[in-house]
Amino acid sequence: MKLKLLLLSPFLLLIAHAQGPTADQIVDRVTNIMSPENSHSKGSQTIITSSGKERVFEFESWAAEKGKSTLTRYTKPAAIRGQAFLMLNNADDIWSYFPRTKRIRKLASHAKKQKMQGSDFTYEDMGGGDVFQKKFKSRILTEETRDGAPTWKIEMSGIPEEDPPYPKIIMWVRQSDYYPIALDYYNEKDFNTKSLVLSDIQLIEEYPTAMEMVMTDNKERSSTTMRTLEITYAWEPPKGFFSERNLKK
Amino acid sequence: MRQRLIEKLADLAVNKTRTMLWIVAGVTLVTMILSGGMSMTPKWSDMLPEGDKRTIEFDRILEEFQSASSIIVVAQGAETDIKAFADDLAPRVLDSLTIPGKDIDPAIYVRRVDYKADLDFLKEHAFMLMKEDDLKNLKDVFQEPCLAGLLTNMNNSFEKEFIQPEESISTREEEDGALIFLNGINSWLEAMELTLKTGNIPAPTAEAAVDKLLLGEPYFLSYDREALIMNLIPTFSMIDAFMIVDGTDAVQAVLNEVLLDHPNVQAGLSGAIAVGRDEMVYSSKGLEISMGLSFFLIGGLLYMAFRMAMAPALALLNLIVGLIWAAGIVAVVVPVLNIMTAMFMVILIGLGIDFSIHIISTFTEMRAKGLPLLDATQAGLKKSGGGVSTGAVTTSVAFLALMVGDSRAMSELGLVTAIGLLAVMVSSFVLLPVFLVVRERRYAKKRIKKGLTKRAAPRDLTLKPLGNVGVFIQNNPWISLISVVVVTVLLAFSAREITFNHNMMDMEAEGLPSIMLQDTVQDKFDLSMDFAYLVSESVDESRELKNKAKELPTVASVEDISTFIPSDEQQARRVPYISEIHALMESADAAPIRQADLDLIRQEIERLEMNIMEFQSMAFLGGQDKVYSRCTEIVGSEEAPPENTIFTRIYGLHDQGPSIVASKLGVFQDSYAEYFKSSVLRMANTDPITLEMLPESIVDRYASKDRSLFLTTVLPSGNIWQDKLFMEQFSSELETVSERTTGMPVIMRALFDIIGRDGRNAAYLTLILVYLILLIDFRSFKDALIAMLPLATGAIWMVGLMQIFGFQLDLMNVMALPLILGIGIDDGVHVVHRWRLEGPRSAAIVLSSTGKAVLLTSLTTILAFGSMMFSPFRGYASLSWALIFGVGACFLTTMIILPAFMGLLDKKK
Repeated sequence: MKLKLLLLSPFLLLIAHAQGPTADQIVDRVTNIMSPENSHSKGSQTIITSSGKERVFEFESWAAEKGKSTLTRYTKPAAIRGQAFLMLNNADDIWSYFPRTKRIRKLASHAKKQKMQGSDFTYEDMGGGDVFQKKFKSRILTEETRDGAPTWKIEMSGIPEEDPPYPKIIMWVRQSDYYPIALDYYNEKDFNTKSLVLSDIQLIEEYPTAMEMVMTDNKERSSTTMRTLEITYAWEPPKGFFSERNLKK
Repeated sequence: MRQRLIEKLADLAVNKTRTMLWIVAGVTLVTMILSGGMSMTPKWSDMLPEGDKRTIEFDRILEEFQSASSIIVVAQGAETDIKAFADDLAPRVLDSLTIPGKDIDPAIYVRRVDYKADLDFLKEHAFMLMKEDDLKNLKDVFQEPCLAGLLTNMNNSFEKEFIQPEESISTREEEDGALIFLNGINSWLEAMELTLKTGNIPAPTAEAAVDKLLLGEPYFLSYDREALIMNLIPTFSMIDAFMIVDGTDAVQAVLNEVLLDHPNVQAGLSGAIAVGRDEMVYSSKGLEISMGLSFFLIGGLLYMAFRMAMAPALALLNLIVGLIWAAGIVAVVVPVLNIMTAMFMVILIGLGIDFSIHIISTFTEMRAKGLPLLDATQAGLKKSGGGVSTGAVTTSVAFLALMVGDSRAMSELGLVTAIGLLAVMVSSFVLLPVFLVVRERRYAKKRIKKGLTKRAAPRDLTLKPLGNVGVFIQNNPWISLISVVVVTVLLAFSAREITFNHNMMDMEAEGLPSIMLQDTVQDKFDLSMDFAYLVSESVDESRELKNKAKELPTVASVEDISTFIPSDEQQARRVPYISEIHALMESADAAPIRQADLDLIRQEIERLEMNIMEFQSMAFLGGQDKVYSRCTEIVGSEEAPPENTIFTRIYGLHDQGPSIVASKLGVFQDSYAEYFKSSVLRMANTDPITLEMLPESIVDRYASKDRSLFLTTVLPSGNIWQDKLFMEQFSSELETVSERTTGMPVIMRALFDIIGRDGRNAAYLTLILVYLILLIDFRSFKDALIAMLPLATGAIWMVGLMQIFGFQLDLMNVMALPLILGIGIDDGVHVVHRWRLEGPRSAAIVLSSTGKAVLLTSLTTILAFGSMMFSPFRGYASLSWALIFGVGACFLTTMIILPAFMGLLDKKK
């Protein structure tokens, strides 16, 4: 019997390989790829204001513990230069520093579901961690080609007890490198309320990195473009870097 | 039979001239009287099928809900000026109105004017109308009336604003809420500044500041506070077409009068009724101009072509009589014309004149050959009559084929134009020969009077160059046909590229005052008029629809009566917070201000300034432009240190010395505190709100006249005109909420679908029917097919050329496609008729004679349609261009393809 199994095992492995990875395996890989330990980047954020004008901000951002802690400081334009946001515990705790009044204000924990600095991203969208693994159940819907790349189309259904950020997410994951290239977010009524497209994916220090992310809010008919101008994953946070005191610097 | 009828008509024209004239006069008089019953509707919904549920619902809304048919006054100027203007206009517009020179008795056109929020109702129930979250956040503000306490509580509440649940100021609703809060604070600070400056403050000023702080701005002001809207509720609705013009003119007259007393204010009328009035008046004027212009241009063209003054006069006179007959019959069949059918007269001018041209051409040709009057009349009618009657019947059948469609736009246009065309054809056969006979007799009498025995030498009125072109093509048929095929293939590719313009705004009249003000409302108030409607039968159902609609991705905001009548559960949940506010405020007192309190007051004012600055930063990051600019007005910008803001001025006034400042702030506190306390206690009313408690101004906005139906207005989150997919998504999503969804977006989406489908079906049917008629007429499959070839090719050329010249298809000009099938077929019919009459290798005479007539009729049609370009309705201009391309293309293809076939087929013979 054992011999039979031993003889069969290469075939079983082949079959398993031919069947491809499971949804959970894909989501695990995505989480790993999307959550480098630390990073330091410079980027720009383009929003459309309520009167239809385009506004571009530039910022410098630091992240540690796979995105659990982040600090973002705006550098341009002059109107908000120095304004900074500190997010700890995967955006459960958010502080903001206002250079004009020199005050630090804490935003309540439920602010993480709010739009982040007028963008179509929420604070939670920008928080890192293992949200996809812990708060969703995943299944592969189909395999399809998107933007010329073979992808897995994965449905992630929120686990109600885990307080998921969205009831449902559909994610397209590139088969070549397990990098997600698009995500559709759904509300309780199963309407596709937001869509994220990741593009210009470059391999930076062994991590595939989307240099451009466009989040479209299908209800507000607005979109936000986040562009990475510079990024390194070889950054180590000094002690006390992610602190209220450091917000003011 | 046709020949016998033609002979009889010719005989009657020559031998019973006077009787015929009397009969024509009688018919003309009767039809003229009948035509007086014709009217026009400016509603796009009247173009949808009659039984269409969206149209029925839309009409029901217009009839039942006063708010759906309002006249909007838009005033622009400084805030104080426009408010004074509104206060002045409101009572005067409610008086009985007379239109100078029109009415003897005064007429009441305006039932009510809404230009201020109903503060009395809000003062009684404002807290019950607040959302639970807002009550949680704002309850702090309403705890203490004393200055220090109020400032502290205001700051506490301000700092909470950052942590509002879920959406914060990310939506327009939230942004508006933030603006109300900021405006209230600013107004209250201004009252403080005034007291610090003068040591006194009038009670109404203090009370108005408190009202603004607690309830917001009562006037409907724009975001920049430089424009104001007044909503005039008329005694009539959009359905009452006649009242639209009279009522709007009457209001305009009062407005003009009031404006004389307010030289710094600019104001005008907009809204559904004023736009409807402008569209009716200007489109009628435009069509009148078009008709006049086309008569003038066609007359000039005919004069040049026939080289005699009487020919155009007779042709036009005959056309006018035919048009009167047409109008009389149409008034009975379709008494109310819609935007599309209103232009049938212009189409008839373009097409109807053709009959006269053909008949006059052949008559003068026969007379030129020296035939006696009766023979010439008979021969002339025979030569052109076949082509004219077949052409008229094929064109009429083509128009009647439009009736296959469901939309009234297309089916009624088909019906009225077909009837009109047949009426003009009849007048051309009955009246025109009589006119020609009368003219010939008068001419003969004149000659006798002058002692001339001989007729003037006959003039050759044919167009030789066209005949020469025909001969060349006839002799080189393959060159012509290959060229046509190549051009047609190229233009077919071009035609495939043509796009459809769904933007109805590009169709509307340009430069009309009411439309321009609509744009002002859109810009200054961020208010679109393109909303959809849902109707419900109870407040609860309305609330349910609202909640469902709000969830839709394509919906920006929803307004309905349930905003003013929260559900029983909602009201019950709010009661504890309201009771808490009541209890706290009841026990609170405003102790006199002492010098020792000044530091705290100053600190809290500075804290308030910092809060607004931080709010400003968040608004800048959040792209909330309106909040950002309002904050900037209050605290200055981040880049330049504030020098002259309300805060810097108040800080400056604090330098007057502690005792003076304490005393003046005491005066300020005394002026508002008691009113603030009593207002808050009044607002903290826990009585449940019921429908019966709502003021008329609110109920009228949402409820039908008998209060049995409730209106929900849904604003789309995107521009429905610039994104067709969005329009479709918005409409279909709303249809999942209610089957009875209606309104402009829904109606226009349906109209696009129905007109597209109707046009396609009508085009196919037209082609089949025209072929069958030609088959009956020619009794030859081949000849019928040949006569249709130039039309099919011309239709491809038309669309291809439109694309090349940068035109798009739209709701109006797409009608040109089935229309051109009816119009363009005439060219082929006339040429093939003449060719069969003249025999083989007759291109020279066919093209120089009939070809000239076809050229003339094409030019007259082009001139008639071209005159529509002067209509303020850009939709008419777009249709006009499409028809010009179509008529021109069909003429060219006829002149190239048919002589080539003459060459090919006659060679075989």
